[in-house]
Amino acid sequence: MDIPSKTQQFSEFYEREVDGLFRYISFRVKSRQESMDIAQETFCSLWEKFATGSTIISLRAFLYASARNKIIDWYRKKKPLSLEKITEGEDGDILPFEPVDSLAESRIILSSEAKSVLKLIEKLPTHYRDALYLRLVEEMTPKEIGQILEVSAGTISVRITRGLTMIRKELGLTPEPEKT
Amino acid sequence: MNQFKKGIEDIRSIQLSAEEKRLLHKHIFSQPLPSPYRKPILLILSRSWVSYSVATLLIVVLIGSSATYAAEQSVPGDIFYPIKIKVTEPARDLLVQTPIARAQWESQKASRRLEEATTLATRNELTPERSQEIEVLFQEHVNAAAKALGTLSSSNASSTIHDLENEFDMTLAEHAHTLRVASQSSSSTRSNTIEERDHAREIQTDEPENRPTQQKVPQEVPGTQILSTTTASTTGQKENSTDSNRDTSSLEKKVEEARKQLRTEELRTRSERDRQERERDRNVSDHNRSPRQESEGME
Repeated sequence: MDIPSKTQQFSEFYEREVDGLFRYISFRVKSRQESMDIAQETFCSLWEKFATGSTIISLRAFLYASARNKIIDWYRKKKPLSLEKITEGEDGDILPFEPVDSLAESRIILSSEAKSVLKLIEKLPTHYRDALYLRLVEEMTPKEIGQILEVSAGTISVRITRGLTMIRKELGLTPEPEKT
Repeated sequence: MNQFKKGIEDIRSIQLSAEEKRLLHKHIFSQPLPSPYRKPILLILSRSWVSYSVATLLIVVLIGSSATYAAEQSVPGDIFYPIKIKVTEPARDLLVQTPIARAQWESQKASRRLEEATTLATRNELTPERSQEIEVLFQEHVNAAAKALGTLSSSNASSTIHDLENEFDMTLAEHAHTLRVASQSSSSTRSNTIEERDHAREIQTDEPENRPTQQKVPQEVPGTQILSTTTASTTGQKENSTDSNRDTSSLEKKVEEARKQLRTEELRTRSERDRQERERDRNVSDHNRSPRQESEGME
């Protein structure tokens, strides 16, 4: 496959996935600007691999998996720096607790319903959060989620079911017979 | 439940603006792509364990090669001399395959021994032990060379053998000559030292003539102390040089023997060759004669 046709294919993929990926990142990073940066980096590295002919089984799974790794990297990079600033400070300056996130314009504005849903998901055990988020919001299949999180589709199904049960319990609803 | 669904819908409504999407798209496709034809060696070296092992290998090779180089320059008594004799030369033995190359290499080794002896003689360091060592090795090499020439003579490259033998003989003669020159120069230094010593003795006029050793001089005459120490050292040197003179003479004898050995070898091979030729001639003539005899018998 030559570069122009690859560009065409990747552009279509980008148009389809960019919003979902941005949402996924912003759900973890909580800053619009940072989320955009990470999304851009993720797409860039994927395009590099795609254009140079690396074999990629599922573009979508690869995209989310690499975004996940980039988020983890971002946390690792950010945490020690801000901690240092908080504890020591510079020339007695009082620094805000979270310098980037506190800026109003970079915050992601959410409706109260959306906030409550995110709060519910965040209350879940760590393993369940990603699986449930990707299933409910991005409507991915357990197989796709399994590829991203590097576990089997069966495990993901179990996590989704249990996560939903927990959310229903949290909302005070009785378990329903219908399955997601 | 409806609220929950609405919440999810709201989350889904989080989107990038058209402008942001366009910018991001532009960024992605404007980045330079790395060439797919990256250099494989650099790619391999980027792994840390590979680079470590390559570095270790380089160090080992460097140390090994420098030790070999040092060994090549060494003479008996040096630290690296055993490496030259026991490692590098046997290693080169393995590389030699044909009898011609074998003969050449053995003769080369013999000349190397003589070169070492010459170096030692010029330095006045040719002790009897070293000379003995060199002689043994030299004899081995000469024997091996003669043997290789012997195996050659059974094949039919007579001119090559002749050339090889001549060459070997000439190098041996040459080395014997240089050795003689070296030992002579050392003996001339010896005669110089004798003169010096006589001169020193003349200076010490107040000393009795029948003084058995020179060592007592410094205690009695403080002024001649420096001179007497030089005489002491020169007498030591004198002993050395007589030794080296004797050793080179025995080595020279060895070389002469080797040349004789080669000459007899050459004679032997020549007579062998002649015999073979005569036999062949006889066979041919027999073969030519036999049908006639048969025909005579028939008649």
